[in-house]
Amino acid sequence: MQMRMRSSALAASVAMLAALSTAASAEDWKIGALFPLSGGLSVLGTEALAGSEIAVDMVNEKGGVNGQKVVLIKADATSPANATNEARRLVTREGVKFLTGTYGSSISLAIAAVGNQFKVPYWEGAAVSDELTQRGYGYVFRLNDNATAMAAGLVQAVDEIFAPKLGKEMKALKIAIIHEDSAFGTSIAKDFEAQIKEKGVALAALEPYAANTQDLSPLVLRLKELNPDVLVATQYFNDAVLLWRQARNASYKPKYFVAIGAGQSTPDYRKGVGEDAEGVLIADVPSAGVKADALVPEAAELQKEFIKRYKEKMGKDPASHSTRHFSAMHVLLTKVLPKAGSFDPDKIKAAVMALDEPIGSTILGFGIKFAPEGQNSRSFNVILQWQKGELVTVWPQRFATAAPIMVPLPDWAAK
Amino acid sequence: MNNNFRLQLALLAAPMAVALLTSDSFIHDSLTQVLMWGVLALAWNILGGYARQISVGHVAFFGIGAYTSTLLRIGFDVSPWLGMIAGGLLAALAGVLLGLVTFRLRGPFFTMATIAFAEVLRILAVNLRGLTKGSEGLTLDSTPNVAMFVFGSLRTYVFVAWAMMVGLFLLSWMLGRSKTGLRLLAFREDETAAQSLGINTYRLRLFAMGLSAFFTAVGGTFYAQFLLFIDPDSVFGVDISLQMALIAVVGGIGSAIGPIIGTYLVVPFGQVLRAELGAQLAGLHLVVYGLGLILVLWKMPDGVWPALERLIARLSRRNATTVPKPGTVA
Amino acid sequence: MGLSPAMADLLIASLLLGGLYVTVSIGLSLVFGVMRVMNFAHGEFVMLAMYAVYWVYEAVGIDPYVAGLVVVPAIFIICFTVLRPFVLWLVNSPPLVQVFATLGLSIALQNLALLLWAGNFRSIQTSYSNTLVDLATMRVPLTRLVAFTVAFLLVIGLHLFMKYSFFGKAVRATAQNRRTARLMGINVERIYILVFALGTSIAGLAGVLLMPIYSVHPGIGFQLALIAFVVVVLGGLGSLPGAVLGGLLIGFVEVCSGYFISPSMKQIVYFAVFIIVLVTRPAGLLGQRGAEEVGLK
Repeated sequence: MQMRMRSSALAASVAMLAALSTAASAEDWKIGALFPLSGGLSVLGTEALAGSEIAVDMVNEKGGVNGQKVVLIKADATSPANATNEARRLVTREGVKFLTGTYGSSISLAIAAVGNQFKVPYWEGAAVSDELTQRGYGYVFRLNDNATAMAAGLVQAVDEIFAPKLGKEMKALKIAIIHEDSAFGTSIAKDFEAQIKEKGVALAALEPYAANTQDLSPLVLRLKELNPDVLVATQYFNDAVLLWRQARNASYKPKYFVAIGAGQSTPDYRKGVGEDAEGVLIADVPSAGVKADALVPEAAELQKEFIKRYKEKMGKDPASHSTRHFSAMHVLLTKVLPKAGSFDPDKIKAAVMALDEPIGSTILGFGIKFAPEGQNSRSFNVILQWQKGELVTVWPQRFATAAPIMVPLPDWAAK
Repeated sequence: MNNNFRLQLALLAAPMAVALLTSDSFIHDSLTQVLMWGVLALAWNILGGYARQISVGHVAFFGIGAYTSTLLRIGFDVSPWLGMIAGGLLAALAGVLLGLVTFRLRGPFFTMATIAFAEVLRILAVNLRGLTKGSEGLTLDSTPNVAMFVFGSLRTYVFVAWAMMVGLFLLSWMLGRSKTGLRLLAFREDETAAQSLGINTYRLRLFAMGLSAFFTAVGGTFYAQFLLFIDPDSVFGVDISLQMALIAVVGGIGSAIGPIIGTYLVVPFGQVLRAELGAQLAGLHLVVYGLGLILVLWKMPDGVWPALERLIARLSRRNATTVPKPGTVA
Repeated sequence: MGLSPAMADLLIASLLLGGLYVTVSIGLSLVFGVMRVMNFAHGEFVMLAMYAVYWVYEAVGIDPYVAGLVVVPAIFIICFTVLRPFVLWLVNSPPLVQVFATLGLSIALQNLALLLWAGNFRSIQTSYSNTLVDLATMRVPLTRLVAFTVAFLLVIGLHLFMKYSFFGKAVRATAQNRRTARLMGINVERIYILVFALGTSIAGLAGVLLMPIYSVHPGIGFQLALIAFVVVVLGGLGSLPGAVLGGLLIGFVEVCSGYFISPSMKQIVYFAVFIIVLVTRPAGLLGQRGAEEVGLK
């Protein structure tokens, strides 16, 4: 009788321990993940985190990294002050030796600063501020596109798609850029202006505005008055919808319009403006899919798998920041950590710097070759377009799954 | 306010004890933030508590302090220690000007004007990109350099913040007991009566605004030197104005120790909630925070410190076992 | 590229935006004017009404305006019953407590919405969402015209009601001096509850009118509330026509400064105008002189 009791007690405690060990065990790879999960950026932060989580799940299903499970230690970071606090908590309290994140430039800079202080590597997934890799931190790495790359995507659209259609050189075009005035919009607009300046082009107008505005009619009226040949936009979701709706009301249709992939590339945008989304060109990562042979087979497979899982998990198509985070996390877990063997910062850095893969190697089409300051030099933007309610890649031809249509955009369709 | 003197001393000393006893970086970071908010709440209290002028735009001064010292540092290599004073003076000037402009406004009208003022500054900070780099923000050199207000050890930041808080506490305490303090008391109880006593309420108000603005700006410089990055949202955001005032109100605005208790309670509460609930269900920690605020205000409308004093008084009466001598009060 | 078409456009845009601001502010003007409570959670009630209308539409496809016929009275009833103790406590608390208690409510409600419905921007597309009415050179969305008209009619109705009905007189008496009102036999507590319920359900009505026009997200309440406060204080304590004037003025200033100066500076201009008006007329545009010096009596 006593034997049975003891063995059932033993069984019970084993079961309890097993249940408790859903928490990270000592040998697991503990990776800190800081995202804005509340506040104004919560949607974007949650979507970005989802991308990371899917990568972790997929890798764990295949046995983890070097046989060990990967566990994300998540934290809500919505401002530089609480990002700093939470990052420090993860490092000193949770024993995290590797940080990832995030959405929002000021937040990513704060996390990077903490990482730098503790010599903990920071692997950035989506924040685009150029400054992140310009501060001289030794262990900050960004696989994905930064503001410079995004601006380059916009320039490419203007130079290679619009200018030929207009029959003029870019120098002769009247180009206006509007941008929401947070760090995101401001840095991209600044980079755009600088990049076209190098090509000898001056902007006709640079119009910032506050993203949380309820009314863009003054901006629309100004644009209507200015009547630029080309309109470039860096917007978040709500203002993107507002612009299009109020432009319609004012009977102003920009003929040559390209936006940065934030506001215009979410499925919610299509819902918000309906048919008017047709033809809108967007510079973004090719999260919508690229020509099958533009990617190496593994990457193509991975992309399909990711989209499928994301749809299951979130009930909608992945937004580009989700895909960015998935790609970044996947590369980290499959190409960096296995080689580094541990979280030792110098081993990590060596593994990162040793990577050399051509364009087409990752699901976003990026290659991998990190510059010394930590930015992947083979990241870039392609041009997407809304066609028949879907986002397709239309430029450059190497990646395109469809040809660009509606260049120039037609007048507002009657409703 | 000299009741429970020892308790107040203990409360003041507590953060230092914790800082010395531990080397945990997270604790030091949290402590620094708690103490910094203590400074801000004390500064707000000078206007909002002593003069009972409710400003929800104090972040304007915070931002002036942060940007002044940072721009002087980046542009002219001026030590932020000096920049702090410059920022404080500039903020005090702004405060006095604001006070002049709004001198006829009372209650909610004054409050709204302060909100508008702070928003104007925030939007200016976003748009005067040539000066402030707009929303991209300004980054400060993080090389440790005591002369430039950058410390290698987090513990030093705790010390400095603590010294600031204690200093401001003493100043508040002395102000409360000074003649000016009495005048402020008269002013906030009944402005008309105070005027009829010959108190120049106009100058008094401006004085309170200037002083309050000065120290808020000092807090702003500290913030800039602590995080080494500022942008319009983080130093001109309305949530900072609200938090400053909230802490003082929760702690108890009638005293110098009130804002300190407030910060000991409110800031860690927010941090713990975020750490425990933040990643789980987005927003839950803030729902709890909001409800907690209502609860505290409901149970202790004049703040925690007065409630604490009442509790202590009740307990000590109960503990009195000796029969009071005739003619004395227990 | 003459100026005339632009001026007409600007005027219309100003009226539409101003109308929106008026809609959101009326309820606050009532509550603030009578109870002197700065309800920082005012915008959250607009937000909640918007969500209510949104979910009803998504679930059963009922037109938002029709759904509003249920949502608005529902808000009234909730305020009258569930929120009753909260409101009475609020009215008798010092101004500091009022500000921060309503602020706490605002934070809780915003994040409750975030918790329940996530931060996504949600909008409705009805059959008439894109119907445009031609007005001068601008094509005005029908939904905006409806919002403007309803708000306008509401203000007139409310104003007349407050001026001539018995209830209205009781309310104004309470607003002037509640002690005396009580002596006159007015049940001050009931007046406060009713006013709060009325003001908040009008905020709900604003939400119903806004949903076909805008997207809702948890943070929209706070943004709208700030503008509502500016409008109400600008217009003058307790003056409904003042709120209308204030709203239209802010709309006009915002659109014109956005056009002539820069869209990014438009908020500065209206805040500056706000401060200037307050300096010259401390009680607001149509407020009673001396009201700015008087607290709740």
